[in-house]
Amino acid sequence: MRVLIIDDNDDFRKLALLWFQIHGIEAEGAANGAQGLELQRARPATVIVTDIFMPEKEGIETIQDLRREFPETKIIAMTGRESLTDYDVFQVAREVGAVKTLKKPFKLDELVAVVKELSL
Amino acid sequence: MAALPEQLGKDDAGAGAPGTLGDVLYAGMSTSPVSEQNWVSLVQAIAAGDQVALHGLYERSHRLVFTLIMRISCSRETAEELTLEVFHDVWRRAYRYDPRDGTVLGWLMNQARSRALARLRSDQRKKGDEAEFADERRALRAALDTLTPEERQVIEAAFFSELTPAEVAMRLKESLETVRTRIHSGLHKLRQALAEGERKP
Repeated sequence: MRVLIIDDNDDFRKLALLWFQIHGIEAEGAANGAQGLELQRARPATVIVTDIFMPEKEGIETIQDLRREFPETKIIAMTGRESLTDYDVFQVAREVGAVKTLKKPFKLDELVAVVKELSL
Repeated sequence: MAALPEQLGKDDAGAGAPGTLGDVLYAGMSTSPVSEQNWVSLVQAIAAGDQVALHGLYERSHRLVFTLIMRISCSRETAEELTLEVFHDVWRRAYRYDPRDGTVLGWLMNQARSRALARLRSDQRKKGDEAEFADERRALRAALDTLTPEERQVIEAAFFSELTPAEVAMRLKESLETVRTRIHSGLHKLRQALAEGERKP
């Protein structure tokens, strides 16, 4: 099982990477959608966890690109800031191909559990 | 002072004699008023790759950009950093400027405002994330204390500096095999320590 975490928040990404590895899940991180897409092409992950709001290449566009190139890969969209917008970004994320959506705050153990469930 | 009205009108044919006390007092201390057409010409020259024009635009407007960012961010360090970013963006994206969308100064100030607000949101969000994952961070800090100094060194290099095992080996001047072994044993100990931490009341 391999997970790719795409998030521009360095602190969260590093913490989540270590948390996954501690729980026996191989994980890699990318700071934006473009980097994430490159990593996925080089070393495909089974599950991708991506933030929705990011600079450079934001999450919705990233999910669309990933879904087009890697239709089998499960994508989890997460954010804690959808209230900043006037539409439901989780709904949009699901429409473009995210199979799960997570709103911060959540526990990292919950994220690990969701990833394990999707990898079955 | 007799030459002042002529000096003021040098770059702006429409400008008349100074109208306020401030115009008179500060006229000699600053550059002459610049017509919008001159601002536009500067941006067009920048779009064509003219570095002198970029310097000219910077000289004329960086204090305004800096002040706006400083007011929003309340941080001199951030204001200095973002002011440079604004002009870096101007250099890369001057070709996108269209005079029909507004004045050059307005365009610059919009970029400054957007960058300052984005930074503010990002900083607030980071603080939020740190608070959100406080339990995990606390547990992890305690778990890291159970590692040997060598294990901790490779774990921190691999996960906090995001280096590959090969890069860690090179940085620490250790063999790849040693680094892999320490990562493996370190992760195993962290797993045990976190599990024990969960069992404690």
